[in-house]
Amino acid sequence: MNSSINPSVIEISGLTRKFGDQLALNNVSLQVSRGRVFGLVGENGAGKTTLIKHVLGLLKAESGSVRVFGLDPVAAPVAVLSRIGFLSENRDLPPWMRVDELLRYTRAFYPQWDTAFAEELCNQFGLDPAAKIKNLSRGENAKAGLLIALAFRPELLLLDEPSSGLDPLVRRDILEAIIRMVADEGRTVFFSTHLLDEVERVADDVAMMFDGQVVLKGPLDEVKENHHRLVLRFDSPQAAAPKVPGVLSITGSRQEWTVIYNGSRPETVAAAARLGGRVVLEETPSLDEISVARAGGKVA
Amino acid sequence: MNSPAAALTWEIWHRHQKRLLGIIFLILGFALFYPMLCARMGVKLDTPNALDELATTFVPAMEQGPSLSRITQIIGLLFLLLGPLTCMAGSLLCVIWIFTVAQIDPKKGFSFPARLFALPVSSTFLASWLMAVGAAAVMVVYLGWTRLVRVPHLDVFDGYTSCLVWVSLLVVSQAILWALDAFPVVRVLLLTAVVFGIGFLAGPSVHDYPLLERNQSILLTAFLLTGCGVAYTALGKIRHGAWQRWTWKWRIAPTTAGATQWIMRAFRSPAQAQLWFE
Repeated sequence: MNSSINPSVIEISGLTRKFGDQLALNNVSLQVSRGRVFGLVGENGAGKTTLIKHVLGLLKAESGSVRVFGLDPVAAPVAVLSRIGFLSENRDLPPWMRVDELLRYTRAFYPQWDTAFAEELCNQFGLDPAAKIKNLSRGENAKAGLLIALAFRPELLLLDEPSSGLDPLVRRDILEAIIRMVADEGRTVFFSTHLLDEVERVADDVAMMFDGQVVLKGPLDEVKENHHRLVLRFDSPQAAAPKVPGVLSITGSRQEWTVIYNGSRPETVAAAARLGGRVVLEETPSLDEISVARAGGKVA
Repeated sequence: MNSPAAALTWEIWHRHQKRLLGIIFLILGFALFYPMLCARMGVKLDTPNALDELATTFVPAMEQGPSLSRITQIIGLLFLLLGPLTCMAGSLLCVIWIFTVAQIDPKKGFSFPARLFALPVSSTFLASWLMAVGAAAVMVVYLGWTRLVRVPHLDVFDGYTSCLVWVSLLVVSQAILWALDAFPVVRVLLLTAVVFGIGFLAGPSVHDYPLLERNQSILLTAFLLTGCGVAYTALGKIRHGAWQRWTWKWRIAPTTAGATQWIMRAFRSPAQAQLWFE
């Protein structure tokens, strides 16, 4: 996507964050364009939530810079947060409020609150307005959080692990809400997850984080097009994984080995041939496979 | 609710409705029934030396032998002597606790609710609102006790200075609770020290220290202003994740971990390990 057509909503440049001796974010740079769905993927502890906290201004950048709508979220929290709908990973809602009270309460902070839309979402999500937050199920709690994040039609929807630990029906509702949000012209969605199938379903752009670093980023289609999976067959069983140069990962056993790579196809095939392997199958890998390959096999 | 201020006021009221109504009913209860109880126990509230009368009734009752009626009388007199003061202090401390807005966080124990930081309101507004409405609530409760409840010894708490004491305590408590968000033990110790310090400054013992007594208002105002400054700064800092993980904490951590490992290695039996654990 051309950035001159879609100016960046989020611009992160050289962001580094340490917690004691632990490096949580290591020189992270990202751009999220207006009107796009951006999926941030990575295993637990990769630094996704820390990155989102910087976007919200809940953490101050130690080095590097964070700009949201061109503003520093730490210096101008009101201007930034009034345009962001946020659903936190731990669904931080006041347990003693009823759903209708939560809506009235949140409405007071957002002048652009759309009451009709909020009621529509409440019906769509099947939430009982008289139910107390503390009595809601995990899925209903997530829906209530999503409702208040969406009801003022924010320019940027920021979701931290929105469907983690939820059943498929609730996950479907949340993904539909994201799609609906994007259908509203000019709105942007930034969500973090470790569920890669979600990203494949809804994201336009993707960034993969590993150990506080962004190891891969770009439009999802490009990322998938640039990665390839080859199944190699060797004439004799291989005791150890063949050392094919330039590949991201190689897994298998005995005569059949699967290779994920993002380099030149002829070079990889030639390298495999030199080791005695021939290509028996060639496919586009899933995002899950790319992620595992990029993480160096450390992701389960 | 059509403004953040109204929403936050509603939140405080709704969350602490039972406590706040309890305080109102306590004041009204004392205002209505305390004079009746005094009359029943033979204490005349209208006389200027009512407190002395109460004490002179109490002492002989203590000196007589035990009987059910005498024990009841002593308990009744103790209640007349201490009940209003204890309830007044308790209700004011409750209001102070309410306006620190501390909530249980699974990771940090009592802390400022992080969800408020994700709302589009400035830290200055949050701190100002909590201090201003908290101070107003403290003054209303304080005036309720001192103006509505006729208690012979409550007049020692009457006046501008005593009100300033409670407002200072509110602001300093807010400052300590917010600033030391990541240090629960230090926070409790400091808070206890401040409560005793301000209590001493406002109590009758200050008369033994003429210098302190002369500068009582100045000291309390200094407490108040320092508290305001620290509370504003602290809320702004913890909102952006500062003051959460100071480096000295990490320097101590390896030492503590080493000591724990040494103790673990020294266990000779499951019973010894259990003893250490307990």
